[in-house]
Amino acid sequence: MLTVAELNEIRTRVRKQLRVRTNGSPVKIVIASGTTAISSGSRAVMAAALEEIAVKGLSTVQVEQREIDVPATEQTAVLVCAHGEEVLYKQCTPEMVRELISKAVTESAE
Amino acid sequence: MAYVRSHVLVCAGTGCTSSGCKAVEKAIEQEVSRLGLDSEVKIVETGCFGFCKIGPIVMIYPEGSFYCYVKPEDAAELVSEHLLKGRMVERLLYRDVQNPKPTAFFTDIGFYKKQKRVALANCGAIDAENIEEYIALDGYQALANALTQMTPAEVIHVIKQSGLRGRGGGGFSTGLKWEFAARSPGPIKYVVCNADEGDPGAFMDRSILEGDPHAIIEAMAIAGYAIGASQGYVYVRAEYPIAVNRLSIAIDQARQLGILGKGIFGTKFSFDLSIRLGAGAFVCGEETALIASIEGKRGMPKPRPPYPAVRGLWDKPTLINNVETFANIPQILRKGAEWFAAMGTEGSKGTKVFALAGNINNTGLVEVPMGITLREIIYDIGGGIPDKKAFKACQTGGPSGGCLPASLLDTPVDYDTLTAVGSMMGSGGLIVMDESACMVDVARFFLEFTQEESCGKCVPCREGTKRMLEILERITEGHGTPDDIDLLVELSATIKGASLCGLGNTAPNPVLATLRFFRAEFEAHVVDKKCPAGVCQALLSYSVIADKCKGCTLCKKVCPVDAISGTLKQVHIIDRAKCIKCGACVPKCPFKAIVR
Amino acid sequence: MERIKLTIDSTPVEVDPGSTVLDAAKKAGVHIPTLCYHPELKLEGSCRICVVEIEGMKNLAASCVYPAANGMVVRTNSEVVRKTRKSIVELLLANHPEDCLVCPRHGTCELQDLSHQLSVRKVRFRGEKRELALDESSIAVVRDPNKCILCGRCIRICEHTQKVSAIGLAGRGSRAVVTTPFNRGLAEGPCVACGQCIKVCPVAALRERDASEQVWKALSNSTLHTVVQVAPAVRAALGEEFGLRPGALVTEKMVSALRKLGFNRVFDTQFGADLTVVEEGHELLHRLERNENLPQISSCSPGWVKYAEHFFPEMLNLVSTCKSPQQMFGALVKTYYAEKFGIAARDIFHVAVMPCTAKKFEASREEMGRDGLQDVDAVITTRELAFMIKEAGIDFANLPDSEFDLPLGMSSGAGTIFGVTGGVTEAVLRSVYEIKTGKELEEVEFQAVRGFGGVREAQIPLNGMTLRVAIVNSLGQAEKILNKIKAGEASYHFIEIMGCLGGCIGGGGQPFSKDPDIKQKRASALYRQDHLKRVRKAHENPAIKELYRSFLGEPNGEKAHDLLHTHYHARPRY
Repeated sequence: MLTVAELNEIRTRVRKQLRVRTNGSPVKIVIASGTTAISSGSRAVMAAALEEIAVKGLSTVQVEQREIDVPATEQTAVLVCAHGEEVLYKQCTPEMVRELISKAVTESAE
Repeated sequence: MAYVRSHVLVCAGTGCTSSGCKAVEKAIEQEVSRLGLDSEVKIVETGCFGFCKIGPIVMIYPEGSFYCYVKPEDAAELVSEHLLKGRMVERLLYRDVQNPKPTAFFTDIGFYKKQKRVALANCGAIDAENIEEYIALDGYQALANALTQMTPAEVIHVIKQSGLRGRGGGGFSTGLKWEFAARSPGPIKYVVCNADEGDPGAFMDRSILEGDPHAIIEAMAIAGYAIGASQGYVYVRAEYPIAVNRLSIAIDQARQLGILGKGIFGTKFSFDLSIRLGAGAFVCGEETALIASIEGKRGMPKPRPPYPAVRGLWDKPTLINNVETFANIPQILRKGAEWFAAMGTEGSKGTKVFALAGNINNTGLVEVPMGITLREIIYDIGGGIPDKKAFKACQTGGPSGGCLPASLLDTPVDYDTLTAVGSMMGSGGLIVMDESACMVDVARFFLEFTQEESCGKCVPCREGTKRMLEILERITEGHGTPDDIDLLVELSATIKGASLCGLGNTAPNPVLATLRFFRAEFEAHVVDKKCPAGVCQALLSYSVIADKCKGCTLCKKVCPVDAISGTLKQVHIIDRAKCIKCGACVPKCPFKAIVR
Repeated sequence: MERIKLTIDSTPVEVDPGSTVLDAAKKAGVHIPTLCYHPELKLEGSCRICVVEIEGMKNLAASCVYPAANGMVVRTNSEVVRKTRKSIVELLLANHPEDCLVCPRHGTCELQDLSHQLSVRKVRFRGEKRELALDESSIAVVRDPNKCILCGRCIRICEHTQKVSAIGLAGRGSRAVVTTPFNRGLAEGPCVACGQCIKVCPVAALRERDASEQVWKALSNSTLHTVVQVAPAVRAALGEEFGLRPGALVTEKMVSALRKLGFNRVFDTQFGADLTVVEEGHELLHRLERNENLPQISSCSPGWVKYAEHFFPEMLNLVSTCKSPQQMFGALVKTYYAEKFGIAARDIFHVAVMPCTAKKFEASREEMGRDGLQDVDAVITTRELAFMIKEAGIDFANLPDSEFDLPLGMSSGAGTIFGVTGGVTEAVLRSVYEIKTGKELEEVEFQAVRGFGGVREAQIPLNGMTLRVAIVNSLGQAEKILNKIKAGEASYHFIEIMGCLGGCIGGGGQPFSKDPDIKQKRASALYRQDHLKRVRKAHENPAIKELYRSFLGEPNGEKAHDLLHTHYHARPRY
C-alpha cells in the first residue's frame, strides 16, 4: 500500500527526470557541438558534464548542445545560462566543465 | 544514475502506429545505440499528439523540435544531426500550410496555438505505460487529497461548482449525476466509464485512454469515493487494442502500487477496476444498453426511468461518465472548480476535444476552450479547406447532430448554442465539408449509419429510420417527389418523439438540420432532378459541348463502355443510354468540353 | 405509503407508488392502446404504441413503463399522440405481409385491431419488406419471421416465464429478427414446444403446426376407423371460439360437434387421466416404500418432460415413468380397444384434441407406439378443432347435447381436474390416500393444492407419515424448485409440474383471449364439472376397474408397464 508521502516521493524524484521536456529549467548548459567542437573533444566534455550532474543530483539543470560560433581554436565552448545571464566559457576540458558545474551551477541552481 | 539530457518522444497513438511509428522508433533506438548515446538520450513512447495527419511524429526535447512524416530511413540523420551534433533537421520539421518556414518549438505551431489542453494535457507528454511519469505530473494527487482531506460530499460539491457537463453527448451536469448516484441508497454501487466511442471519425476517448490511462483510473476512483462505490468497469471497444492494452497495464501498475485495491492511501476506501470489451455497437454508448452489455446481455437500451443512478448495473446504483468527462476530474480537484469554470462560457465550462475530419487541412484531435467559434477551429487550428475549395458545411454531433452552413461559422461552440441552431455538441466529431459535398447524400450517409446501428428494439427507430433512408435513397436516385420531403419531416417527428432511447430520439437530426439549412438542395433533387454538387450519380448526365470539342478522341479512348462516339477532328457525342457516369472522360478532355 | 396524485386527460386520479402511467390511465377509465405490453410479462416499452404526452417532457413517454409521479399532467389523445401512434402502426404495416384475409389470426390479430382502432387508412411507406424463410422445423410450432413485429413478447415468456430461451433477438436495425440459436430452427434448440409464445404473439408470427388437414383426410377415408380423445381443458375453453362466455363448459356440445365432424368414436382423455392417477399413485407408493427416486415428479406435461430432458437430465430418474393421459389413452386405443372391438390397430386413426402444442411433439416421440404405428396419429389443438368445426359449417352454440362413447368415455372428477394446475396432485391424493389407508376420504376436495400461485406447497397426513407435496406451474418456477432440491434446500415426496401457467387450461393450444381472468374462469368450469361428477376418484371409475380386471392385470404390473410407462433421455440444449 502506497502512502501519500511515498506518492510525493515518487513525484519529486521523477519530476526531475521530466524537466527536460518542459524546456523550463532555470539553468541551461549549452555544450558546443558541430565539427570543430567535436574534433576538439566536446563529446568528452559532454560526458563529463552529464556525469557531474548525475553525481551532484542536480535536477534543475538542462543540458543542450548546439553549434556555438567561436573560432576553432576556442573550442570546446560552453555556454552557461542561468537566471537570464549567459556566460561563455572557451577551451573547456572535461575537468573544467566539472568544475564549472560544481561551482557556478551548484550556486545558482535550487 | 546517469543524467539524461534529451528525451525523444515518439507518438504511439493509433494514428501514428498505423503510419509506422514503431519502425521509426526502432530505427532511432538502433542509431542512438550505434552512436553510443544510450545513456544520454531516452526514447519515450507516448500517446497521441493529436496531429495525426502528419504522423509519425517525433518530438525531441529539450529543444521541443517537432518532426513529422518521419520514416525509418530518417533515423540515422535525425540521430547523428540532432542528437549528436546539435543541428536540427530542417527538412523534417513541421511547416504550417500558411507559413512555409519550419516551426521549431511545437507550441508555436498554428495547430496547437489556439488549443487549450486539459483533458489531453498528458497525451503526447508522458509515457502512458509508466505510472511514475503520471505521478510526476501531479498524478494521483487529487485522489490522495480527496481520500485524506475531503468528504464525498465535498468532492461532489467541487465537481458541481466546476460546471462540468457530460462530454459524451448529452451534456448533463456531471456533479448532479454524481450527486444522484451518491444519494441512491445501497451498499453496492458501481462506477462505469463509457469508452464505447462510436461516432464516425471520433477518437478522443481512444486517444485519452492511449495517452493518459491513469487519469481515467484516478477519476474513477475519485468517483467511487464520492458515490460510495468500490468497483468500477471500463467499457471499451475491442477495436481499440492499444487503448485496451495501455489501460490494462495502467490498472496493473496502479494495483501494484496500491492505488487500486483495499485501503487506498491508508484510508478505509477500497476500489478496483475491470475492463469490459464491447464490439463497437453504436447503441452501446447509450447508458442502459452499455449496462446490458456489461451484464452479458444483448446491448439494448431499456426505458428510463429508472435511471442508472438509481438502478443500473446488476440493478445497483451506477454512475456512468464517458472518458473525456473523467479526464477532466483530477485536474478540477487539483486546481479547483474556479480554475475550471474560468474557461468556457456561461453554460458550458472548460474545454472540449474535437476530432477534425473531412475536407480540412489539419485533420486530427484538438482541444479548445468552450465558446471558441467554429471558424477559429476550422481555419485557425484546422488550417482551412484544402485545394482552395469553398467551405460548405460542418457536421457536429455525429449521427445525432446536424450540418451547419457557412453563415453559422461564427457560432460559438457550446452545448446550448449548438443545440439551438439545430445541431448538437455530441461527443466531439467535427466533419468539414467543402463545396463538392451533396447535402442530401450526407443526410443519407448518416441515416444509413443510424439504421445500421439501431438496435431494432423500438418500432419508430427500427422501422422509421429504414423508411427515412429509403426516401433519401429515392431522392438521390432521382425518384423523389416533393411529398417525400414532407414525409421525411413527419417521420422525423415520430422517430424523435417516440423512440425509446437517445439513438432514436436524435436519429433524424442530420436530416432535419440539412433540410433546415440546405432545403434548396433537396428541392433541386426532387423538382429539377439535379444534384447541384454533382455527387448523386443517377442525377448526372454527361454531355459534350460542341463548341469546345476539338475531336481529339481522348475521351473516346478512356470510356470503358464505348459510350462515346466520334472520329478524329469531329465533335464527339456521349450516348446517355450507354454511359455509366463513371466520370473518367471529364479529366481526360484537354479542352474542358465535357460537362455533367 | 403515500398515494400518487396525477391528472390524465383532465381527470384527477390517485394510484399507489410504483404504478405506471398506463395503470393510472386504466384507473381513470382512459383506454391507451398497447402492443408489446402484456400483463403477465416483464415490461419492455419497445413498441411505443402507448405513448402519451406528459407536460414538461420534451419527448413522448411510453405509458406502460413510465412511472406515475405526483402532479403529473398526462394527455393520451392529443394530436401529436394520435399522429405518432398512427404513424407507428403504419410503420409496422409497411413491413408486414398484406395477407390479412388468409391469415390464421384474422380476427384475433392485435395489429389488425390496432390499425382499425386508430383509423389507419393508408400505408404511405413503400419499400423493402422482409422476406425470410419460415421455420417449420418443429412439429409443434411454426415461426413466420415475416409476420413478426418484434414486440418481444415471445422472447420474454420463453426467457423469463419458461426459462427456456429457445428464441431471442439477433441482428441490428431493420435486420433485427427473432430467431433461434444459430438460426438453426426450433427443432434444433431447447424449445419444449409449450406454445406459450404462440399464446402471447399478437400476430401470426408464431402459430401451431396445423394438423387439421391430416385429420380431414382421415375422416373422409372410409376405410379408417377414426377415434378421437379430448383433453379436459378443451371443454372449458372451446366455447370461447363460438362467442360463448369465457368459462362456459361445453362438453356435450363438443361431443356432438366431433360426431358431426365424422369421428367414429368420441372418447375422453379423462379416462386416460384416471388411469394415470392409478398408475402414478401406485408408483408413488412404491417409491415411498423403498424411499428411492423421491420426490416423484409428475410426467403428464410434455413440455415439462422435454424441459427436464434438456435442462435437468441428471434428475430424470425423479420423473414418473407414467406416460401422460394422452399417451396412455393412445396405447389403449391401439391395443385394448382394438382387441375388444376386433378392429386392426392399423385401421384405426387416432386423433387427440389437446389444449397443448407440446402434445404434438409428445405423440411423435419414438417411444410412443409399437409395431411401426404411433399410438396417437394426429394431435390438434383446441384452436384447430374450432377452425374445423367452423369450416364444417356446424352451428356450435345451438348443437344438441350428447355423451361420450363407452367404455373409454367414462371418467371420474379426478380426471377432469387434470386440466388445471394442482389437479393432478389432488387426483393422486384422492386415490393414494384411500389405497394406502384403506379408508374412505371424508373430504375429496384438497383446497390447499388449488390456486394459481407459481409454487404451492401442502403437507398431507398419510397413514402416520406426512406427505410433502409441491405444485409448480410454468417452467421458470420448475427451474427454481429443481435447483433448490439439487442444493438440498427443499425436499418433497411428490411434485406436480405443469409447463404452462395455470396448467392445461392455459396451454399453448387454447383460444386467444383478452380476458385477464380467463384462467380462473376456465379452471372454475373444470372444478364445477368435478363437483357434479358421480365418481370423483380415479380408482373408483368402473371402466378403469374393468380395464385392470379384463386386460391390464395389476397397476404397475407387467402389462401396465409395457403399455403405460415410458423412459426419458437427455437432450442437448443447442
